[in-house]
Amino acid sequence: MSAPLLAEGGSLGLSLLAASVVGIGFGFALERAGLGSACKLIGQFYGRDLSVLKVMFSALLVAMLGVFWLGYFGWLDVSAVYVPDTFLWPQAFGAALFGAGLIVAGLCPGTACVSAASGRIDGLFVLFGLLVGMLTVGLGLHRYQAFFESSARGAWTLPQLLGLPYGVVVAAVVVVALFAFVACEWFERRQP
Amino acid sequence: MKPAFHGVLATLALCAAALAARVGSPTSPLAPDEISAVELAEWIRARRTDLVVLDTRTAQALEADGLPGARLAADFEAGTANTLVLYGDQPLTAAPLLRGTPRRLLKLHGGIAAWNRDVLFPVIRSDASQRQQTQFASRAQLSRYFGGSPRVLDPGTQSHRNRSRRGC
Repeated sequence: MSAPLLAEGGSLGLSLLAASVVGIGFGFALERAGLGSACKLIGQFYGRDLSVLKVMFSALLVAMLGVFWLGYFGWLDVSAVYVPDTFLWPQAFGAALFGAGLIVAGLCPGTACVSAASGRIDGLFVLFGLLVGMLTVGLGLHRYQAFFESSARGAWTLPQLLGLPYGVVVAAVVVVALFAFVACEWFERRQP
Repeated sequence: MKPAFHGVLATLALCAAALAARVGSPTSPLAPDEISAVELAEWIRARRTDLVVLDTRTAQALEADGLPGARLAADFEAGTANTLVLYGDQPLTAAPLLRGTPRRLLKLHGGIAAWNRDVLFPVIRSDASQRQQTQFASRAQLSRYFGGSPRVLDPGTQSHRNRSRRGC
C-alpha cells in the first residue's frame, strides 16, 4: 500500500483525524522551535534572529526530499499528492497582505495558534483578528470574485515552469537552501 | 545543535539531492520485467514481428478497449513470438505462457490506464516552453498514430478554485 493513505473524497472522519494528528505534530514542531514567540518572528525582519527562515526551509527540504524518495521507492503515489492551483496576482496580493499582517502582529496564523496554545495573550488577539479577517473576506468575496480567480495557472510546479527534471530542481533547491543557511549564520554573527 | 551535526545533515541533504538529480524522476523506475506504455507503443508502431501483446481480461474487455493487436491471454498458443507483453487486471502467471520456450515476458507498467494517459491522450500545458513543445511533438505523433488525441491543457480554464474538498 502506498501513501497518501487517505484518498480524496474518502471518509470525512478519517480525514479529520489525520488532519488532527498532522496539526498536532506541526504545532509541536513550531513550539519547540520557539516560533510561538512574536519576538522570535519579528527578529527575522530585523535581521536579529533568522530562525524562521532556517526552520521553515529545513522543513521544506525534509518534505521535498521525503516526497521525492518515497515516490521513487514506490511508497508514495506522487501523482495522488494534491497540488494547490496557482493564481498569480491574487496570491501575490495575498502574500503581500500576509506579510504586512505578520510584521504588524508578529505572528502568522500557524504560530498564532501555537502562541495562543502556549498561553500567550498576544496569540489570542492575533487569532481573534484572524477570524475577523476571514469573516470579512468571506462576506465580501463575491465583490472580488473576478480578481480572485484571475491569472490561473493550474497546478503549476517548478519543474514544469523551468522545463527541468524533478530531480534537478530538487537538487537546486537543496543547494539554494544550504547557501541560505550559511548566509543566515554569517549574517547573524555580524549582528551586535 | 553542534556544527558537526549540522555538517552531517548538510552532507546527507547534498547526497540525497545529488542522487535525485541523477535519477531525475520521483516515480519508481521500471522493474526488469516491465515495459512502459510509450515504449510498447513504439514497438507496436515499428511492427516488431517477434512481439505479441496479451490481454489477461475477458474477450468483451479486449474488444472494448484492448491495445492494438492484442490477443486474449487465455487463447494464446505457442508461436514464434520471442517477446510477450501482458496487461490486464487478472493475475499474470508466466508458466503457461512460456511453456518451456525461451521467451521474454514483460508486463505493461501501469496497464490500460498508462496506455490511455501516456499514449492515447498525452497532455501538455498551453504555457509550455518551446523546448517542452518540441519534446511533446513526438508523443503527439505517436498518439495520433494510434487514434488518440493529444491534449493542450489551458490552466486558466482548469481552475479548481470552486472544487469541493473535504476539510479545508
